[in-house]
Amino acid sequence: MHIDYTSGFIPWEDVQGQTVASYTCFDNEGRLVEVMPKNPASHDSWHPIQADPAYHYNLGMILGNPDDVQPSTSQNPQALQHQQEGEVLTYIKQGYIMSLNMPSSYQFPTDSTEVTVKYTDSRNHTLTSQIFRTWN
Amino acid sequence: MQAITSTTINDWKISYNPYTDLFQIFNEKVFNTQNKDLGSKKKGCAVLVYEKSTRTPLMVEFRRAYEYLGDIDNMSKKAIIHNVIGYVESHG
Repeated sequence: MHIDYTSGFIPWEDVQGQTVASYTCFDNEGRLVEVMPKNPASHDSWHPIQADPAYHYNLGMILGNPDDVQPSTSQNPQALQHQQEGEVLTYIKQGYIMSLNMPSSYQFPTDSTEVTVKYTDSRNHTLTSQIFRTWN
Repeated sequence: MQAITSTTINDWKISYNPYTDLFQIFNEKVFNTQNKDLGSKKKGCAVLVYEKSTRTPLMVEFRRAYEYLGDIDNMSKKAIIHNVIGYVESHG
């Protein structure tokens, strides 16, 4: 499935009940990226809102319209391994959760959502996404 | 300022991106509190964010988390909390 965001965000109501599956979209430079479902970690390192189909199916909006893009400079071994295999960029969007207009969005008037993408010659795909609090 | 204890943060949620190495452990209330109502205090490389009116801690943030907390993705939540509290306590 390919998602085109020319009409803006996909409404929350339109994707409720849908299975969260991978899809493709274009990033802000027109590169095709496969957005993968987020794998919950073994500990409580993710928020339930990230399991909502509206969260998943609108992540492409961040890739196409980021507020900031940062290369990975992490020394985490997992990050270093991916950096050796391709370019790793994190796309950052402020206020993403509120933009989704989900009923649960209103618990998050302030958020920064990050989507990390790995680019290789053969495939571009997301590695993770996270919600953070911006406070300064 | 109320102290950070395992009881305080046991129910907090964790966000960690290994590619930016940004780590936050937070009470969800922090998302619903305006910046003007929040204060912050540096604890070494960590930042403790609290609600000004009650002096209640709401979040601890680490950049370069791998260096200071360890391999978070391969740690239990209990171990992460232990490391967070240990770091904060050791930095006054």
